[in-house]
Amino acid sequence: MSTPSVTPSESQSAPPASGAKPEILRRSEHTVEIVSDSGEGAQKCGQIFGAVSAKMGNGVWTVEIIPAEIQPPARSPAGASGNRIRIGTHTVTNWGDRANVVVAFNEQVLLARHRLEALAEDAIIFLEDMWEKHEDEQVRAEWQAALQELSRARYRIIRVPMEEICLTVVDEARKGKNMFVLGLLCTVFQRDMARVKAQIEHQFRTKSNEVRERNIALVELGVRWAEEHLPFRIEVPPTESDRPMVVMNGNEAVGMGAMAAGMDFMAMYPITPATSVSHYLAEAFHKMGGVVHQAEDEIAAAGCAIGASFAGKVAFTVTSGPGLALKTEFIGLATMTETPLVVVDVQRGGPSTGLPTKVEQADLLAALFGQPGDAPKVIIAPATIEECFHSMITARRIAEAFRCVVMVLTDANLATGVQPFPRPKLDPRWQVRQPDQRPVPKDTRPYEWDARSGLSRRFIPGQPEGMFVATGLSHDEASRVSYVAATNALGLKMRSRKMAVLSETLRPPEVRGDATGDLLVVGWGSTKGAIEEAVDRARAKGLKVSSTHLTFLAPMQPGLKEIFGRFRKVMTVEINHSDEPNDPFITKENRRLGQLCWLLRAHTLVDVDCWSRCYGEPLRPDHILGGIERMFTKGEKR
Amino acid sequence: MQSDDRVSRTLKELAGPISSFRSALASAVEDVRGILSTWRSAQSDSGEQRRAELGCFAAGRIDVERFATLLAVEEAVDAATVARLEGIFDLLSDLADQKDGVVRVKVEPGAVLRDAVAAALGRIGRAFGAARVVGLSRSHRYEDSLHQRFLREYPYALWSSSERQIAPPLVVEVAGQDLRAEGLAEFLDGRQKIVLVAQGKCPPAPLARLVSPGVFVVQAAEPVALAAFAAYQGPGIAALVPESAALFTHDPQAGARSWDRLKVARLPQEDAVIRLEGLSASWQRECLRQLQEIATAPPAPAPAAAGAASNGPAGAQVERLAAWLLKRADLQGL
Repeated sequence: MSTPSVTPSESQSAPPASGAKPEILRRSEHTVEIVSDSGEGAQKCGQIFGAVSAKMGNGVWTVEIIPAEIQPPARSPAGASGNRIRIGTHTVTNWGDRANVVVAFNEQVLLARHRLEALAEDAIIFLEDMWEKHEDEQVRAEWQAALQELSRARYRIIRVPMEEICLTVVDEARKGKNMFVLGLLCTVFQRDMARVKAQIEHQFRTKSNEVRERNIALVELGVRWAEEHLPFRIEVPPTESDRPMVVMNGNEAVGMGAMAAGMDFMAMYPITPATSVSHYLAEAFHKMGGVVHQAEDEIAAAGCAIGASFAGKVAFTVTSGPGLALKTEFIGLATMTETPLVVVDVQRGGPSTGLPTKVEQADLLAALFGQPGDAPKVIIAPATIEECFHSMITARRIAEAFRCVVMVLTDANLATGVQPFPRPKLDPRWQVRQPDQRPVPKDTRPYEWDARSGLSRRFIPGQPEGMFVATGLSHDEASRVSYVAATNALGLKMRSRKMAVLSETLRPPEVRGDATGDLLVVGWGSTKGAIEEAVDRARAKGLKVSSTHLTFLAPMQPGLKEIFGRFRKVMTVEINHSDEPNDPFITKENRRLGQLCWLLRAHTLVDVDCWSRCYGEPLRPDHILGGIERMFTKGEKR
Repeated sequence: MQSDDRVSRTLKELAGPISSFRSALASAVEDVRGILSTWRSAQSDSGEQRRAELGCFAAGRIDVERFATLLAVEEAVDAATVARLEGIFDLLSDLADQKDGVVRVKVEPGAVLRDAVAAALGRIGRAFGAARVVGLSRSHRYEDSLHQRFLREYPYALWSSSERQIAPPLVVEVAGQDLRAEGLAEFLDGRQKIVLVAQGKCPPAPLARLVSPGVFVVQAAEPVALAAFAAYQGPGIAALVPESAALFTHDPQAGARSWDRLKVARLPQEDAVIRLEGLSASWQRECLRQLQEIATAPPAPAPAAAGAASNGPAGAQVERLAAWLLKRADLQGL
């Protein structure tokens, strides 16, 4: 999608002439950002605006702008907290390039977004102006300097006395500006006010009536201010859908998917950005007979999930990068004991504690190779919030069918992003299969591997004739500890063989665009929407580019080498680190590549290149487009 | 025994917990319908079954036929299991169709109250027994000799803690002279509520011996007094009694001590108590005394003797230390 703009003009809002109808600016899509200090409620405002837009039938993708610290200093660029909401007439698959409309609660958080080039050249900015005449001289100076810096851009800045107006309703404006801004934005974008009020009722359902009424009063203030001062409205027409839609973020979708898959047990230890899966499940899981267990640490959480699964339950655990590192040993145990286990890793910036609230796709290799010894496992990566839901059903089935670990790699972008998607039609068959607990035929062994497939029947404790001692040590088919070389080799071979069997059932990935061309862009996970938008733009410019998006990363989907062979160049696009080819000391030999790029090169022996960024935010289509164009200008041939 | 309108009014007061159970029942009926339909379709089209099991995420990414062949998937469900599930579906549907009838019990005059309640809970428990048989069937652990009885009667003793949490209240009509409630103590667990509608003369404090810290116990004249009882998220027993009986409420949430929790609104004179069939007057009076005893706060401790308080600096220190320790242990009121 292109980036539409509103004609920039004066820096002060011109009140509409009495009785004059505001100008309607019709757009196929628009991106809104609301930024404030942490704790001022910009995120809540954005969530409500996004949810209302989705319920009205607009395509929506929201991304939370979260500072890395829980309570960063007020009025600091690093503390910018808020929400970006991209709304469109049709489906929106990513957060877009630059914001067209911005609401900033102070000039410092606005500056942060400006410096990140997050704003469109002609963005309309609603800026709280209380800082201009602030009693603190330093604040006034910062305001002046910031406006000076911002004046170099062509933004249309509209000053709004948010504090002053909100104080007519609340004693502490800091707690009310977000609702005022919601009213303002909903007027500009002509949102259905009945839905807005209903959404407020829902969002604040656990609060008192007084709180809800005050919030609605603040929204109405925002509406009135916008009606009196803004001579324009922005219209992003929604599309009627004949299917009922649901609106949620990726973590909620994972939790809901787990319930739909018939999972019984989730063990976790709180870690950003994965924790909200457990928050969601803690509210809902018990109603379906499920249990959420907050363990004492990450290792224990993995252990509890393995134990529950060993006992015949359908269990999973959720974590993020540093937690995945801690779970390493137990994931190895699940692999060795062939205990079905689903591990959801909501990736964030790393290494170590890294960037807890920011997105990266940097756990792929750790997920695949993190265990000492050979620990084959299945890795799948949902690309959308809808896939976060559905991937849990497939993950459960594969984990049980293959008695293996299935890792579902999502990321902070999916975890906190909100997108509407068709309401899943629940199918009882997703959860109908249970472990077979008939008496085990005499002399059947717990790891009686099928010589061809490596598969064996799963025993559940208490099953007649099914008693055995599970061990993480090398063992034979009867689960007896054995250090005999041939026994160890057989176990390794059988566990690996299962991956080959699964691989045999996979289908090659689809290619979006022409089947042949100059460049194939390969992605995985949450970047799908941005990559496809960038590739579409490149194709619109006449470039012969196609894309493919991998869902199964271990085992890899088949046919990749053949698909790659149809393109002059192949390039991965990822949110993880890769060395820039022209940086000091970087040579073709020592260049460190994107994680999927490493894997694809090893897997296909094709000279795959990569373009990756890890700014701590989702990729923007225009940045990817820049990467694609650069690949063309390099003019290298494989 | 004629039914009186207190029963229907009681059912109205208990509409919340009854409706929770009925919606759990309705949802169980739907679950079984879903499983049944799945098993039936699996018998006719196993490919579709496997495709569905893998979910939409697998569509276009996994070759389902190949997946099934390579995995040599588990055997299809046999006809006997499908037939059993059909029986369970009928049983659950029948329980659901009984509406309020499922929670009403009439005890024949002269019958043992405890046995009548146990039998009624056993009948209701068939819903839980049926769910358990479904689980056993799905995991191929079902054995006729062990599990078939769960569908005939599923006694309270077998109910799990979760099942006891969603147990429906029971409204029991019983002749006053048969109101021997002590035997019901074993059923007061989870969120189980029992309301005894006494008809005719009854002992003055038939529920006194059931008062315990976590159980909501009410003797009331009218169902309207049962609102807090119905809302309590724990076990409870209530009796609607005639004018000759005591009226009291023991609300576990009203305080830490028994006299905070127990409020007696009416206490008959002991000498008005007469022998009822099988219940001596002295036994009934003992129940009244117990009620009085636990509803009465013990007398405040006598103030320390003047000599002890002025027992020199060492005595004062001991006093202060004792007071501090009691305060730390939250016992300063003793």
